[in-house]
This record gives sequence, structure tokens and C-alpha cells, in this order.
Amino acid sequence: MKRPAKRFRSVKTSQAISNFISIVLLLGMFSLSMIPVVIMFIRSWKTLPQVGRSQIFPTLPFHYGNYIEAWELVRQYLVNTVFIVLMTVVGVLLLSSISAYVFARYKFPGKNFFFAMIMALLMIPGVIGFVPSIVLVLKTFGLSNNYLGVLLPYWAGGQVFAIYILRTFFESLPEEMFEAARLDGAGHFDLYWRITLPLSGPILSVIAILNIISTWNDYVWPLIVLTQESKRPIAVGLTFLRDTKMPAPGVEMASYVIASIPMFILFLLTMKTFVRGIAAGAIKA
Amino acid sequence: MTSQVSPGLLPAFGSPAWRQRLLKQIWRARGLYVLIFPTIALIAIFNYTPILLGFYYSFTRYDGMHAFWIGLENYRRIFEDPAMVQSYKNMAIILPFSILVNTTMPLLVAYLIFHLSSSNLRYWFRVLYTVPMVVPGIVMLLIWIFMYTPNGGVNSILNAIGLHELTLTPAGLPRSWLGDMDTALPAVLFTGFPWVSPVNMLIFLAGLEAISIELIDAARVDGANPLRLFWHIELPMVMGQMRLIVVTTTIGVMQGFQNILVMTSGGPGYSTMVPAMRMYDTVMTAGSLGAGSAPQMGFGSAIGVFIFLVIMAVTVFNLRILRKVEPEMTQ
Repeated sequence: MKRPAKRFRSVKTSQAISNFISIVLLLGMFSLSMIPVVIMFIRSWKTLPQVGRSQIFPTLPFHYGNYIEAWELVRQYLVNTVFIVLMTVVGVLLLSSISAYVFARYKFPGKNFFFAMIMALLMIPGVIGFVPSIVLVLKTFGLSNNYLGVLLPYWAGGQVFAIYILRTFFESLPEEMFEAARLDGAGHFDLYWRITLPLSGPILSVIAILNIISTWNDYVWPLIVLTQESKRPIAVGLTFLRDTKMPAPGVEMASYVIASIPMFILFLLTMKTFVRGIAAGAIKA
Repeated sequence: MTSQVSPGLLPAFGSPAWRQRLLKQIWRARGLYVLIFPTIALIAIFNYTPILLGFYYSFTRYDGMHAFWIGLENYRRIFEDPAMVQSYKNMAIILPFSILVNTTMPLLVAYLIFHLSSSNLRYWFRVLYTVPMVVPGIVMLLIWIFMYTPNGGVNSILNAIGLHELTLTPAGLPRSWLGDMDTALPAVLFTGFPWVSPVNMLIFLAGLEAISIELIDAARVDGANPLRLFWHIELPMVMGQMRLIVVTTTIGVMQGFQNILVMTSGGPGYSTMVPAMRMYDTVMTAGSLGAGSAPQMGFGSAIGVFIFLVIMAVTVFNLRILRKVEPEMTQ
């Protein structure tokens, strides 16, 4: 930078000022978007009389008993959700990595047709198949209140975007490694299991996180398929809790906090991958 | 790359030799077909079958038991059903509003983060603005429902800052923001304030970071102030991201109804009805179509096809532009 020293200093000062203004604005906007979350926390520590005194402002003493009560109410929902999420993620990773591997590393008759068939789904809005999916899963297959009624469509739909991402990545792996393994007599599955997967840890975890978030949050489909109380995942369970058992406000909010904690832990453990995953999911229309 | 296909002279298309060669290739690749079979089968059954059935059902009256061909009757109803008619009016407000706030607010935050001088600060604000993603969407909606109740957060905040009159209905009762014909739709729109979608913010930030520093420095040396810099360089350089977000927001808003389902079910009256909510009602809440009425899969499917066609029209319109952005987004 060729600038006179004097001017440089003024640039630096104005930079500091604009930095300061930006930070204030950013923190301000962030605080505004966190208002509902903060209110959730504050209310979750209140007894019923304390709620009567003030709906949203903190009252002393903090009452942690709500969390014990809420835990009893949502424990089963959480177990169900963890089960659905794990099954979904493992299924999607397995299906998509195998297919992406085949599409990335081989040529065979019909390859382009099958690949186009998968990729077209990225462009087709799911809304068109919504009503027929209900008929298909609940009536034709009779999967009402069956976890398969949730998992099969999740596997089918979840793998599409994953194949799209993984194929590009698998194509970039150097051919020499595969050639060497082939000379050693490795088959298709060996090449996939012993060479491709071990090299793909980071990209697979991005896809896993993306899938965990969307499965954890999904509401409408499990609401339709899993109508039995004991099978509901947390997202559906929370709305039913509010409508049917009408817990005290503090307990209700404590149950919301509990429902958010697993994702928060995941976020803390995998911060970088988490952020990357969200950015990668952006193109999934 | 491939060990499966032996190169050589290609026999004429359709000739016996060609057919034999093709069969041989298929036979040699049989292991590969086995590997992709689960993927293809699942997609065929759970994605393509419903799409095809959707077109078919939309021409029938179908209660889940018997389907009768009724031609375009369902499509006529799409334009006459009172809930649908109201839903278009609501959509005409919801869609432009959503596009506006889902582009401007994330761009503003991305812009502010991008111009921080310390890369450490930039990183931590990025992470900070991603944190709200950990709260499940349904939890956010449930908290917002509480916010709008008569004794809820919105009224408490308004009281605390001295705007007591706003918390009362004309009749002098505490206002239930979602239960009031006049305020339900605005309340649904206000949900999520200040609408800084982490996903969109990260897209804009990636777009801004892709602008070459030389370009910005050159403009600065030429004496461009921040406003001119934004208007003439930064904004044009993220137009690709802007269009991508416009398209994804449009698609999401037009086929989305989870927030409506949880917050208002389209009510009170039809004041917050959207087309996809009506589609859900036709199958899952048949009672809303009239006392004792059965599920109407045909009408529901027709609504699905209709929303699909509108979305496709919008997407095709933007396809050329979208393609241009895609390589940057998949890096």
C-alpha cells in the first residue's frame, strides 16, 4: 500500500471505528434473534407462582425441579428420536456412499440414465408426491405406526443430495490407488470399503451432520406416520405434550430446552464440520 | 478410470452385434447393478411412484378406497375453493415478504462480518450466528406461539417498554396475536424476527469472500466510499447468491406449511391459510372440508400438482442463472 503515513493513520482509525460499529450491530442483531431462546431459558426456571409474578423476566430463586419433571415427560420421545436419527444417518451414509462410488468410478450401460434419475429429484419439489406418499406408505404398505414408514422415505430422499456431493468427491480420488489395489486382486466392494471410505471421513461427517439436523427437526412426516404416543419423536411429542398434558409453563419450557441440548452438544463437538454442513446444505433446494 | 468397458470399434446401433456387446457389458457390470439396486429401488418406490400417482389422483375423486375419474374437476375447484382463494391472497403477502427479509437481513449480517478487520472476529461471529440452528425448528415455533399468547412474551415486552395500548384489543382485552383475524398473518410473518437465516448468511459470506481483494482495493484507491463500494462492486458480485436464495426461498415458502400447521392451522377463519396447508387438510383433517366429509386425496393431489407447476415455472425461469452459481456453491 502506497499511502502517505498521515493518511494511513486516519484509515486505521476509521477502520477501528467501523469495526466497533459493526461489532455493536452484530451483537445487537444476534441478541434480538435470541430473545425467544432467552425467554425459554428464563421461564424454564420458574414455578407457577413465579410465572404469575412475571411472565418473561427472571425471578428468584431458580427452580430446577421443572427439568426433572420435563425429563420424565420427554425421555421416551428422545429415545425414539435418537433411534430414528441413527437409523436414518447410517442408512443414508451406506446407501449414498455405495451408489456414489459406483457412479464415480465405473462405466456401465444405463449409468447416465440412473444418475439422471437420481439427480432430477434435486429439482423436483417434494410437494407433488406428498398426498400419494401418505396413501402409499400408510395404505399400500400398511406402515402406520411402523418406524419403517418413516425410515424408508428418509433413506430414499436423504441419499439424493448425499450422492450428488459424494460422487464429485469420489471422482477426485487418484486412480493410481485403485489401480494398485485392483492388481492385488481387490473386488468392487474392497475398493469401496478399504480405499474409498477411509479417505472420505470429513465429507461423510458433513453429510452425517446435515442429515442429523434435518431428521431431528422433521415434524410433518412423523406426525402423519407415527400416531402412537409411545413411538413419537421429540418434535411431534412436544406439540402433543403442550396440547394434551398441558404441563406447567416452567415444565413446558424445560422440555423445549431438553429437546435442544443434544443438538447443542453435537454443535460443540463438531463446530467446524457443523458450520460446513450447514453451508453445504444451502444448495439443497 | 474404468475396467469395465473394453474400448474398440463400436458396432452399428441396434445391430445384432451391438445387442450382443451390450448384453455382455451388462453381464460384466452385474455386480455394479447389485450395488446401486437399493438406491434405485428406494427412489423408484418412494420418490417416483408418488409423483406419478400424484398426477393420476389429481384427475380422480379418491377417498382412499375408491377412485373415480372426474377429469379436470379438481383443478376447477383449486380456483373456486374459498380456502384456496384466500390462500393465494395470503401467499401474495407472505412470498414477497419472505423473499425480502430472507435476502436483506442475512446479507446485512454477512456484510458486517465480512468487513471486520480481524479474521478471528470474523470466524467467531460466523460461528455465533450458526448457534441458533441447534434449536429445533419446532421448538422455535412453540416458543413463538407462547410469545403471541395474551399473557405472552410480546405483550410483556410491549408493556415493559410502555406500549400498553398495543397489547389490548379494541374491546380492551389482552390481545392474542395468533387468535385475532387482524393480527394472525402479521404475527406469522414476524415470527423469526430479525430473520437472519444462518444458511443464507453463510451463502452471502462465501460470495463476499470470493470477491478478489485487488478489485476492492482498486476501487478504494479510486476513492470509492463504502456505500459506492457496496452498490457498484459487492452487491453485483453476490447477485448469483442473491438469485439462488430467491429461488430456494420461493420454493420453500410455496411448498412449506409446517409453521402454519403448528401455529394456526390456517386460521382463524382462513386468515393464515396457504395452499400447502390446504393440501394437508384435504387428507389429514378431512373434517375441515365440511362436516362428515371423507379425505379427498384427489383434490389434495391436484393442489400438490398445482404448487409443483408454479414452482417449476419459477425454477425454469431462473435455471440459467442458477447454473451459473452452482459451481461456486459446491466447492
